[in-house]
Amino acid sequence: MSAPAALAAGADLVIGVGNPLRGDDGAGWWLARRARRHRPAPAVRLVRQVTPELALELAEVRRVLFVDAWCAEGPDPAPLLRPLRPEQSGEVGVGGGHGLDPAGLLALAGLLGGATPPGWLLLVPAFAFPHGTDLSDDLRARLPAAGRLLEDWLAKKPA
Amino acid sequence: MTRTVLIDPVTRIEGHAKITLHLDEGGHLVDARFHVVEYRGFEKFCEGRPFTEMAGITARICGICPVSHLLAAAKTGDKLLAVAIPPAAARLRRLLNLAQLTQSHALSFFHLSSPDFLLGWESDPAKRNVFGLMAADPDLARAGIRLRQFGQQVLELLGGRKIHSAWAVPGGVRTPLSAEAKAWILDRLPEARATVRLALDLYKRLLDGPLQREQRVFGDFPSLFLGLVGEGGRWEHIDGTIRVRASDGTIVADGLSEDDYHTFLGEAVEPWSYLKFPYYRPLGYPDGMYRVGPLARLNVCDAIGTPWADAELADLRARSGQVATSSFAYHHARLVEIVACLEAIEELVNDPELMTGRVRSRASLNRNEAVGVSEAPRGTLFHHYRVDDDGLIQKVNLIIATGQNNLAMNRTVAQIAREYITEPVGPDATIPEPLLNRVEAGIRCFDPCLSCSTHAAGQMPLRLELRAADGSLVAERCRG
Repeated sequence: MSAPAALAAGADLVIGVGNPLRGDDGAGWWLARRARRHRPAPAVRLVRQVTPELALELAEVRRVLFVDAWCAEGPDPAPLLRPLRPEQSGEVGVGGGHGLDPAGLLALAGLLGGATPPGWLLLVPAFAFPHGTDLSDDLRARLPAAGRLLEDWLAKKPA
Repeated sequence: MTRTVLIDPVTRIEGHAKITLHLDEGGHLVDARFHVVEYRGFEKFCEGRPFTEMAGITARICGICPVSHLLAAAKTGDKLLAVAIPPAAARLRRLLNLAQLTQSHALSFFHLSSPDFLLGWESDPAKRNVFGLMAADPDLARAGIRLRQFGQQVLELLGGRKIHSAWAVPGGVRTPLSAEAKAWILDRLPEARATVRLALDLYKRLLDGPLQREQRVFGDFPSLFLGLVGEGGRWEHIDGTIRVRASDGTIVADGLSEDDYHTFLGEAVEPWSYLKFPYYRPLGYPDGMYRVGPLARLNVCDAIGTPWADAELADLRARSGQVATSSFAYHHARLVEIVACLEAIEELVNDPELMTGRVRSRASLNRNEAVGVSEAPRGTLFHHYRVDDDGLIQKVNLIIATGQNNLAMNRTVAQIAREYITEPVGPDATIPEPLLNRVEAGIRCFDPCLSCSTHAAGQMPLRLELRAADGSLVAERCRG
């Protein structure tokens, strides 16, 4: 294994969040991996938790997209892409044990680096979280729509 | 009517727990209990799996210290194969564990505990976190985050990922260290050393000032201490033999083998917790209470073996006793261990043997039963497997560090509650925030990982209950 790959200054960063061994919770990783096919390819990170060290990387990037599963609500939930505002609400060790939430990570990046990159959150409706790597049929039916939102974000110029 | 205080859930620890404070009819504290209320059953669902999968499976018990299970499983697998692993593999495993100790201790000290020290026990709990730390001491907060990142990146350099790597395997490791990775580690070491120097200077100033009371009342009691020691009684984290030392400095047992753990360790259960209560068998339950982890490792060893770490060990002993008995000293011990880890990492990456290509011994199954041991950040970890002739697991027993500290955690909570509940508690009592935080902080001294110790899933908020003599709930307070 070589030295850790540093992010290119001004890169786009896609962070897939979730546990790929718990069914639909792996949707964030699935889509973030797909982002690697885009040209130019963004930097991609795959994480189970949003931990404070990630904020050091956020301070370097042009913009960031978090991709995460979302416990679906309503009769026909659809993937959502929305801008993310920095918020000092994700407390390490409180509630989440050792993690932050994406808005908290953005806020921490601002405190660490003096600048907060524009952030977005792509939420994919999730329906089942059993042990295993398979995504549910309900989630798979929504992956094309989620993929289009991802492609749209990748194709856009920085905000 | 006796009553009970409930703290539920406990925060800034890994897992889910509650604390109950039990009052007598006069409103005086009579007992405190740390309840672990989650259960996972990892030992059971490992049955039937090939032993070669155990490193990968048991690493999933925890996302914070998966390396510990990985190494204990790999060592147990070595013994089932009956092989000696190549010298380079032994050194690479040591490097992995040192990086793991560094990142885990950095997380505990900087992210989870230092907000209490720097912002104060009475400070607004909404600000007693990494953001509050950034506001109070941005240089320390930034350095702490980078120190943990250093440890995590060394794990990634070795195992290909920060968590849940399956890099250590029975017989050795999968891949050697590259020259580029070695250069990266050496390049980052000076900054890591500067960070722990900064933290030690700060912590000692606090210890000499506002933290004196906490050092005295956060779990200061005699107990046994258990941990691995190497040749000449040196600090050890993966090899060596087990030593048990008493608070008065007496070595109660030495040169113990993990193979015989059942002869010197017993596991009691209580109906109010899923976390077992291991004890030192010759003294029985609960008199055989012992502590493991960074403080225990420093208490059982005669020396660390590197210059700066030995100087810091001498300083810790000068402040806290030749055998430090306060659980609050776990925080100081973590910083001393980070020093030890950084010095040992530097020695290892400069060792020519590390870079040789032979990293794995291959063999088929040669034994049906084995026990492996390693020192996890939170203490000594035992894996015990029995397999059939096809190498399929028939029986697993995991003795986890946090469980071994269970009796001491209960004792610590009771001591803190007695210190801060000085007046009889009335029937309309509420639980003040400073009490809640101090009781939680008593648990955090041990940096417990309940996901590991009960093999449980979920988050780790805390709940504090105040209960009357008849068991009725007087007051409760939740966080998380």
